[in-house]
Amino acid sequence: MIEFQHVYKTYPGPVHALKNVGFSVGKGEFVFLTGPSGAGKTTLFRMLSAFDRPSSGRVVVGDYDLAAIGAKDLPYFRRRIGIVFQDFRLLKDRSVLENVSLPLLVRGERSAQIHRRSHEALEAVGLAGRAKSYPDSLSGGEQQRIAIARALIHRPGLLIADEPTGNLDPGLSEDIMDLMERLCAQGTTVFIATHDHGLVERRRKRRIEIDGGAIVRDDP
Amino acid sequence: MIRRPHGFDTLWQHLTSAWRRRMALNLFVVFSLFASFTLLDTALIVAKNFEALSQLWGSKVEMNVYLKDGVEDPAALAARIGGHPLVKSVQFVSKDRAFAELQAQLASHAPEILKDPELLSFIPASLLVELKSPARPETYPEAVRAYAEQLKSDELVADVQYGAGWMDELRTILQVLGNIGALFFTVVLVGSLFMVGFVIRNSLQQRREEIEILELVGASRWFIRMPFLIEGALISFLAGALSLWVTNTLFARVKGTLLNEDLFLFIAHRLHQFSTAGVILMSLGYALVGAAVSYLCLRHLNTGFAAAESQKRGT
Repeated sequence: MIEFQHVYKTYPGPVHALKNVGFSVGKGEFVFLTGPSGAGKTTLFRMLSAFDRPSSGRVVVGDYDLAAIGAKDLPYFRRRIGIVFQDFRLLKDRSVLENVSLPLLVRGERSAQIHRRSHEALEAVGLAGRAKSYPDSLSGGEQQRIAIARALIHRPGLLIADEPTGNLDPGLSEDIMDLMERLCAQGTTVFIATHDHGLVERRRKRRIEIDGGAIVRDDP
Repeated sequence: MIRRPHGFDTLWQHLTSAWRRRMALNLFVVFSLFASFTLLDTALIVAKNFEALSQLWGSKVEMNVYLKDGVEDPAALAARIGGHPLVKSVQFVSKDRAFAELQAQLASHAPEILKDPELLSFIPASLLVELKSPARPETYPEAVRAYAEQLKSDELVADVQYGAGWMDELRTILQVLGNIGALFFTVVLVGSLFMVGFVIRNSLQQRREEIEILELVGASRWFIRMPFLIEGALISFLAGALSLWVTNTLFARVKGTLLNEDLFLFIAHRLHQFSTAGVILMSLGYALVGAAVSYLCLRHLNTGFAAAESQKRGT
């Protein structure tokens, strides 16, 4: 499902954010990516979500080689994955319902279908009553849950999330993790970047640790 | 029940909600484009009427073709001149008629000259040639000069007079005004396009995050671009139509004022504003410019990696 081979990412400076990163993740696996701040988690997350391209090496997700993916294929790849960004990336001038429905809208789904599934996704993250609200009127935790609902709504084959529980209280964090585990049980590959060691310990899933841009640990 | 295609629903929803959400920004864009287009419309309407006035200035040119002694029936020459594309009409003025006209003009001023018995022999018969209004004012004086030279070389013609000095002045005026007009129009056109580009680009930059997020959730290029293109076209159309209406209204007022001034009455009748068909065509042209500028700006923003590029630029 996911294949990283000798992946490097260098930003102007130069800053070597990723150095010879290599690992593979099978379909339906649940993986935590851990590491201290500045270790390269977010950079790796960005390579995986085709947010950006690696400087060298191969990143293969499903049938797509993300190091070489063309602009025409990019939207089709992104429609097959669900992404939860650390900064949520919500459209502030659109309602919660409109934000959550975006992945279905861009796929050209029918209005009734979009409406039904958006409400289902909001219910799944406990925000059914906030459909008409706007992101700025919600707390950080609520915005995070909207971002999660948006990532799940189209039932992606791969769900990748950058600190998805960073703004949630412990109880809600566990609920969200349970939801992700249920998705994983249904065949979705889940890849979560987090620095919440307690969460990782409790869930007992595969853990890849990154530090200084290189993988220092990979516990199955 | 007939169901509208889903794409139309989405587009319509995008356009209406986009307009509501960014009312202030859109009004600013419309106003800025309106100002640019009004300048452009003014330049166009001045250019259009300048041409009409040029034709007016050159429309009363007459040419006197003096015949050699002994030529009393120049019908063949008159027919040849009458067939020239520059010529509107030809009239033969015999010696006797020319003398009679001179008598009428000088009767009160210098009656003693008219008593000279040899005066009649000095007055030549002539052809009074009225020229057509110039189709191309800028080349008209040169064409008249060339024709006069051609006529002078005719064996029946003694001399040709047509007010060469006045024609030269007209040519100089036309050239200077033409150059100033072209320069003004070019400056206004470039300025307007620059303004349109700046305003639309700025408006798109403010909505860059929307483009980034749409890219990240898998929107295709045309899904992202189409509403922006239509929005650009509609905003430009609105601003363009408004500017044309204002320009036409102001122009009608100026014309009305001139019509009340005796000095400008003749000119005022020759002034024309944009026709309805012209207004529609120009408005559509402005819409096209808006869409084209939006497309060019979007091409740089909607690359598929807009979010990453935005972060590289540190914005």
